[in-house]
Amino acid sequence: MMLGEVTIVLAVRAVSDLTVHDHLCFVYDRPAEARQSLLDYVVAGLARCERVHVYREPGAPGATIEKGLRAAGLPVSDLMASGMLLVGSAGETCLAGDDGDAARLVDVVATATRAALDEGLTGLRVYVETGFLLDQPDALAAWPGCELRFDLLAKQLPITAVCAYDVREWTPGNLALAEMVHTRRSRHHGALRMHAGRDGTLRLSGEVDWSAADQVYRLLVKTAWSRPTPVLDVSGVSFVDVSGARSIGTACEAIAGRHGPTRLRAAPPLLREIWDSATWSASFPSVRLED
Amino acid sequence: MALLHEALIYDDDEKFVAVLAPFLAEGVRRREAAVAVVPEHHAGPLREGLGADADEVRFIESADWYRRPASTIAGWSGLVADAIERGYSSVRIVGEVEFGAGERHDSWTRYESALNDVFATLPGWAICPYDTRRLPGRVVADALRTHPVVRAGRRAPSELYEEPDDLLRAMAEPLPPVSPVPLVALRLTDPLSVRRARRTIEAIAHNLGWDRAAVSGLLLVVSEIALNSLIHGRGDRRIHIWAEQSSITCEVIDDGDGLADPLAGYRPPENPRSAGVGLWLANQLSDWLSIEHRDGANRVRFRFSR
Repeated sequence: MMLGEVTIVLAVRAVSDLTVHDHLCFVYDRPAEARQSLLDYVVAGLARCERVHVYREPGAPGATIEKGLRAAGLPVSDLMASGMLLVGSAGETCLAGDDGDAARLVDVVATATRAALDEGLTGLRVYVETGFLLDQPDALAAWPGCELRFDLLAKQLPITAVCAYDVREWTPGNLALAEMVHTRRSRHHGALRMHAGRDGTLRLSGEVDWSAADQVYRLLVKTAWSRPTPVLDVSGVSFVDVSGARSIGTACEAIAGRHGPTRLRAAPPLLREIWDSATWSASFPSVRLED
Repeated sequence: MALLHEALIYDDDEKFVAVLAPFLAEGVRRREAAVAVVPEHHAGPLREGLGADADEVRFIESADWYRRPASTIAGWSGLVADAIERGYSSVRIVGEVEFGAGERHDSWTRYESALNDVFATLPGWAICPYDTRRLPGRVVADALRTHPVVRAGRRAPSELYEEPDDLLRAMAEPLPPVSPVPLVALRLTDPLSVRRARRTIEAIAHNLGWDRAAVSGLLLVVSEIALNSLIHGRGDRRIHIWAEQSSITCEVIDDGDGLADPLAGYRPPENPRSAGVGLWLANQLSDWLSIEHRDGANRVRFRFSR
């Protein structure tokens, strides 16, 4: 089996194995397999009495979802008429407001989930294709923050979410940034991650080293506006080096004007060692290391 | 005000107390912070010599203070900063270096020399006692090269004093000894290879029974030294690893030019963005770190002991 085949098999498994509160970054490079994954995902949701929303892009795997569902024997028209299945445009839904703020999707999903629960359904299952962002610079820049809010929402409500990224269209840097703000990811490389806990606290976990330092800086700065609290739980940081620690400190200073000091909760001993040995407290006054 | 850095060459304990008790007492009277880092057997007589002033002097056991040259420098930095914050205008120090095993004598002589540069502007006066009954003749002789002023019978400028930049170039930090063949040799090609090196060392440490806390500092130093090699070095980069039950020694080799500044790793970094934070930390955390440039190869070897 070729490496690419291994990757897509892992991705397909990742989609079909999802459960409520999962928020998957689904990276694909083969539309046929992605179409099959989407089909399985939608069918599994309907079988669990979840309302299913598919936000798609022209030419992307979701474009043929109705056809695939009919071929599988599902009454697509009835499902859509009853509201169990909604298929809409990702770009139009996310950017419908005058301000082009993609965070609108978070509000749409929150409202739809509550409505589904009111109607006796078990929750909402969402699939979003993300290609529309690539020619929307402002929305693209704000996207990690949207994903983070989405992550928090998926923790708080019975939502299962898949955000689909075509690896052939996304730049590696933006893709890596997007992957970090999902609780699950289809590609099994790298371990750096930032996601929301159920109490709204953000958790940074994995190896914050030289390779990840730039991503960590960009992630902390780009998502600052969407964070519900100034607390960043770093208990899951398994390793940090000087570059990684510096990126955290520099990012916290960059956002301090709007965000105030950042409290690094459960700072691991190595982070403290760097901070204390290099006497960085004075250089990074907007960082508070906490137990 | 600049640091006065003197050596006291002595061969009896009465002379030790006769010089150093008045020195510290005068500091107390002048409202200077006073610190004595001396071996346990000298603390009692010095306290006695100081009388009531002893309560104003901070005593530190030298075996605790002189563990690693770089962390001792960091200790002095913190101690002086604390004294100044508490309102003292100057610091008087008695610092009797524990030279340890013979293989580390040059490490501590280099430390003595580096102090003249690192603390050049420190408002203080330090006297370093050298006991000729206990220390080898070469160590005592080197005190004349590392202290601008020497008290040996009388107080006088040392004619043999060498600037730190010169001495540190002339006297290499000895390399931690290792067996000819390492346990593991890995190539360093990119940042991901640094992660692989960390995984390897973590596995070795785990097999030796080291807990996570014991190995985390080693992993940090491996990362910093390996990245320095990738960024600043040239040619084929490798990391060699030796493991014994109580120590792990690593060595990063490349074809780089080595350090231009012989004091790199001794000076505390001025700010987070200044170069050398990684090397400073590596020096702080390693039990023994040496940088050698020979025959066109740059070699950084460091040891962690449990």
